[in-house]
Amino acid sequence: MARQMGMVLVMLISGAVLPLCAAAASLGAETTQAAGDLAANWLETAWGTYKKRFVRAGRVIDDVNRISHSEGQGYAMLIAVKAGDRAAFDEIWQWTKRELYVDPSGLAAWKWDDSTASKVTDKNNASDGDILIAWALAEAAERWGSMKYREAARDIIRAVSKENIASSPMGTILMPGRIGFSPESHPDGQVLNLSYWVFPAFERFKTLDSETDWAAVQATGLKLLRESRFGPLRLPADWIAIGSGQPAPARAFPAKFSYNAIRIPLYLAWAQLNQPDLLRPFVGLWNSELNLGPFEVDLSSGSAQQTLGGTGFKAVIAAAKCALHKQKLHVSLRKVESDAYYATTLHILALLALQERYPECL
Amino acid sequence: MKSMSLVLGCISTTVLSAVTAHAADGSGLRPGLLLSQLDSAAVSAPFDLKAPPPSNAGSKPAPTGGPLLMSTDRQAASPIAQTAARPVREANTKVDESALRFYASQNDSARVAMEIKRIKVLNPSWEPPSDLFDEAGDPAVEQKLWDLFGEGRYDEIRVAVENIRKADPNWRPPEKLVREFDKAHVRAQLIAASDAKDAHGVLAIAESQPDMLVCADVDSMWRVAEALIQMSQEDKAQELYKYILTRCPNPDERLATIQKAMDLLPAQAVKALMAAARYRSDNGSALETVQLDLMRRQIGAVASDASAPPVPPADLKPFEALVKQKKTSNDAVLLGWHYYALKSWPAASEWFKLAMDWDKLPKAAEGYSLALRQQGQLVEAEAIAFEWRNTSPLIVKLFVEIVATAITQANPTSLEEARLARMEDVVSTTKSVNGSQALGWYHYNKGNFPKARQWFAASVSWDATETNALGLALAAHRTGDRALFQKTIADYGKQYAAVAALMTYDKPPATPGKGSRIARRGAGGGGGGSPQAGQLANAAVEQFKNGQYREALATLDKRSGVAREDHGLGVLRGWALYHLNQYDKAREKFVELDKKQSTRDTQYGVYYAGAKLDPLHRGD
Repeated sequence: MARQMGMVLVMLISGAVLPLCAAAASLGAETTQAAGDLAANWLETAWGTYKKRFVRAGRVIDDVNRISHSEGQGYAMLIAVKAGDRAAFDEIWQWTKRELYVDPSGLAAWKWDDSTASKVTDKNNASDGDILIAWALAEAAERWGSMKYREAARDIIRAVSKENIASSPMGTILMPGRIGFSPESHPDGQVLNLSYWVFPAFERFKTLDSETDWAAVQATGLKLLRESRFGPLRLPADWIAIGSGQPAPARAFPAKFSYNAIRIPLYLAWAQLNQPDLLRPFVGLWNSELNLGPFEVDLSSGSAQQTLGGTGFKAVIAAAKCALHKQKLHVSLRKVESDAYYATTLHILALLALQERYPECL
Repeated sequence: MKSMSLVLGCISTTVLSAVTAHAADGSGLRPGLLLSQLDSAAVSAPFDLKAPPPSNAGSKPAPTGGPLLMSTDRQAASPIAQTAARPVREANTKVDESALRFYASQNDSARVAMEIKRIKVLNPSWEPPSDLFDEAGDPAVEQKLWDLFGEGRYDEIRVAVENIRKADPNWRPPEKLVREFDKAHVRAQLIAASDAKDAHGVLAIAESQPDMLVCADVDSMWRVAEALIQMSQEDKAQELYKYILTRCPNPDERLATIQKAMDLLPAQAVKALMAAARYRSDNGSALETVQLDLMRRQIGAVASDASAPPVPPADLKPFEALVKQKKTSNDAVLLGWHYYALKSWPAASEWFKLAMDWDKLPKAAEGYSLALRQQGQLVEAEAIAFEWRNTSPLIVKLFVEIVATAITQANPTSLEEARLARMEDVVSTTKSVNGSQALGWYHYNKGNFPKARQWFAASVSWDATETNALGLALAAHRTGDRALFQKTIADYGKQYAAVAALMTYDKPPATPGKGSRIARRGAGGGGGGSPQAGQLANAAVEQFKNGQYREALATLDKRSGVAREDHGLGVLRGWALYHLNQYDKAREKFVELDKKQSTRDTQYGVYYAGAKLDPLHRGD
């Protein structure tokens, strides 16, 4: 389930470009607000391009991994609702519901592969995908006053709560999936992914689902994060294990700070948690003056490895820099570049987080 | 990248308010100082600016004792404690981690990761330090603060500390740094006030920081003492100096203290301080030196200004004995100038002679020659100056001056060939403007106008002055060289009024050799009127020749009661006034005469009286 970023960017799968459902007509009030030097219609522009490049009839394509997944569906739904594109949102949600929510657990199959006959070969879920989809549905419910979306959101949240939330010696934890991460499966104990703690979503969930202690989930996430300062650069690993009573890089995965954990500062900033000590390790990962980083980091040595490929990763660090130092968004990040799916997604999300929480940095 | 390297902090509203709350409870940041003051009581007992002066001068160190010892102990202990607190990774001693720590201190993780990668390529076995970003205990951060401290960049330290504390409100700068910072901050203010000669400010700061007047900072105490003296609180300053002399451990600083006191306090006060300082056993030889210095200073003060307080004979005699015993020629020269200033010529020449005998000091020879000249021993003075002429330009100048004075006197004696030859030789060699124009006037007055013209020409070529240009024009006139006369006036008339005034002179030259000497002319023109008038005229001329100018004037006044004063006697009167330094009256007389009948004598008189200068002192 570890994110794989290939060296070669594979271009879009060829196919007919769907006629757009007059996305421009649905400009929302929030999106028309001028935000500093960011173009007033930046989100519509970016979303329009995003749809053309990555969305086909409601299916969101991760162009690098050449698959679709619940996370991508969730991200695209979130951007669509923020952009006020109800038609696109609905189309993506319908595809997601139809193609991924195929298991009685009420959780999405994490992967959909066009190259295999059955498309879904692994019914296991990725909890962050479900959380993102539920968050987008909750946002849509509020924006468009739709009970249908609201109920869908609540169902997913309850399913996550039932299947992926568990208590542990470390507190209430969010398991990465239904299967395969439990203490029994790994010699170093329960395996977790701290980037699955989508902190800004938890705020929403508290009002939708009073049965689950989302505040406790959040608190455990912050606690684990505080204790997951590995190596000279005191960074979290993409995957950690907590069997020893203390978080440690999970043995089943490379002990790296990489494409998963890069989202942690984004979620911290977006949730406006005011945890400066947690943000500090991330803000230096991109030196904007030298345009150096962010890197994948080998945690034991702290040594830089590959640069994370795409402008969006810099935007994430920029969001953290804003949250921590009120540092203005670097001029090079104002425009969303035509990167691969994941980097483009994070770029748009980082700008959304800034626009919603830190307009002074724009 | 900004030069400020310690921007470690992070700012968020909660942290800021936490800091504010922290400050509000009294233990947080204080404006001006790094943190609230730490145990100031532990500092050694400082000099008490406000205390009444103790009745017992030269008292022993305070019986509470130990403050000196304590401060020394603390200083010795701190570095050890610091070293112990820092883990040392022996295996990594070869690797330069300074850049790494620097980037980490800036929270520049991207560069840290790259630097680790770079170092690992070169040293695969190297392991990076685990405490890179541990702000609280990071020795790199602490070291950086100390570095800034060392460079006096106090404002930057304050910013850095604030930033770190914003990121980590529990962090506190090292106690020692806080203490040193506070001290340095106040000290910087005191120095600024002191440099600005703001005595009031210096004392205000010193009074507000009573613990700064301690032996660890003698410089501040010196500055405060200086301020006290500026504010006419000499007694207090003396007490402060005494504090240093009796309690501070550094002998060099104590010696310097006496020297400072010597500069600023009267000799009597300095002597009292030296008496107080004698309590220190290790002061002995240093004080002897100081005592001699003090002596020299007093003697030197008299040497440069005879009205300075005289050196008491009781002090002077033993010093003179010591100088003779040790044959310290520089001291002998100093004594020579001392007596020279007091116009005790024989004593002065004696000391200069001794110094010359002990060491071949040109300065001694110069003094000796001058002292001889003052005693009227001109030949000897000239001989000494000639003998030493090659040792110092001042002595050559003196030689030329002695001879020049001799040959340009109102009644010069003819120089014997040999003396004239060596004078001419020295003047030619040294291209002395002064000497050459003196020779010009000498020959001019002797009626040897070609020779005069030659020397004036030389003098003008070396450096034209009003005097030598005037001489050259007159000599040209006398030798009938109208072209040179006109050229000289054309060249220098614009610059020098006296030269321009000769323009009216441009008429067929008088017969060369016709008397121009004042005395001769005076004597020649003494007649007229009664026999009494004639007698009085002769008497005045005689008195003038003998240098009895006042008497000559009185005689002339007497004569003017019986006969009209003719042109020649008028000129005589002018020069008599001139020699009595009554330049105004002299000039007035010459101008009056010149109006009636302009002659070389009146021209000459108008010029010199107007310039109020002896021609010898123009030029060089």
